[in-house]
Amino acid sequence: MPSYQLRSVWGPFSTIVNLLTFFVGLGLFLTALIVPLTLIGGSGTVGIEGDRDGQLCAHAGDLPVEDVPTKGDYSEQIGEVESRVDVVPIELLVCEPLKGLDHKAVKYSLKAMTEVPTFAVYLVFLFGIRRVMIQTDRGGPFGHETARLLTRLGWWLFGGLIAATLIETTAESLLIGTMVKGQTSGWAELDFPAVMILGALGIVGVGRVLKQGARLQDDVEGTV
Amino acid sequence: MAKTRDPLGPLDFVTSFFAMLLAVVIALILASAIFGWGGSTLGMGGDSVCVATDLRTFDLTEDPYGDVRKDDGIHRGVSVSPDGARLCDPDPGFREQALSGLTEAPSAVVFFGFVLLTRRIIRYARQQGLFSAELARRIARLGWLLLGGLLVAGFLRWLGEGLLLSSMIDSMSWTDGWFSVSVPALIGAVGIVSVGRVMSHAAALQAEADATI
Repeated sequence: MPSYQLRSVWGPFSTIVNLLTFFVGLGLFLTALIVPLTLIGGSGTVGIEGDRDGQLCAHAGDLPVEDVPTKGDYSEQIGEVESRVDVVPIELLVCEPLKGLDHKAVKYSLKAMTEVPTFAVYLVFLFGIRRVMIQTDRGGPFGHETARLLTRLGWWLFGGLIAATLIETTAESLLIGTMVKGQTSGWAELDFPAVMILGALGIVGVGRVLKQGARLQDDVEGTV
Repeated sequence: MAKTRDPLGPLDFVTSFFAMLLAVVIALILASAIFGWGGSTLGMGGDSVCVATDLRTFDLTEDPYGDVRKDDGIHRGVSVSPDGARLCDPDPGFREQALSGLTEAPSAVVFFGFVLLTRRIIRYARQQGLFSAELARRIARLGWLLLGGLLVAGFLRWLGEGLLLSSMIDSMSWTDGWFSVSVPALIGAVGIVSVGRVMSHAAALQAEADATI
């Protein structure tokens, strides 16, 4: 058995993962309680991020934003805007009240598909990382199974985030299409999380390094 | 002997891509400065300076915006409203340009600094081997630098936005900026520190192997 202290290998990262797992678990539990009530009552906020109370919303990228509010319209909310300053809306949000919603099941499903895939990718990743840490605490950082699991998690995050972005953009386009005739938010809204995809490949690299560490450990144990 | 895949391959590929992107950006900045093409670079040098706010309570489909509804085929009961707005100063002075730079440049510096340091670490690992105490130290240092850099960049962005907003709207103060730091990036930074720790254990293992064999 190597002489180094195993439990401190992941240090504060382990604490963060444990805290995240706890809060995500709590969040899932509360969601399981709240969502059925929202669906029955026809009110409340739909979606993990939440848009507007009592409404189902989608982002519309290509409605004519130049038609909309002038500087004076904002003054009630933010006070007096300097005369030289222009106010330009960033993006439009299209919303429909939950009460009396047509094709409720379809619209709820589409709304869920605009947010759930990325959440699911991170959720699987979080529980996977926790499993890696439990394995590391038991048998040290250089196990073949740990290395394999970490490499797979990296590829999962890489492919999962790309797939989730494609699914969410498609769902948002279809949802907009149910509210505005002939409109979609379209592929122009496609926004891949580049930094996280970079991080995913970093995790693949760490997995491969651990694999080499596992071989080294095999050599040491075989020799001693 | 099992086939060994290059452990640094994927990361090397991606960081090379971003390093090339950085080179292209720098070349464009230089060309823009030399040929006077104009345009904004890291929030500076543009014809106007903008700052985002989270105003989002207008219903554009109510009067006097009825035409928007009719022309754009918006269904009955559906409302349209801005999900935030951008305040733009079309005639910015040096102060506004500098503050606008403060909202964008620090994050870009942290990102590209991280990419370049990662490339240095990859080069070091290829030259000196994967398991050495110095490499482990460098990886842990990279994690701490990223963590500190993200927080400092978030703070500077908040400060720049607040000062810009207060110069555009009478009722706002310099503290009204929006402090935001990417939580996944922060967690990733702590993860890199942990990878550094794991690598230090690997270095100890390598030393043990070298002493034994």
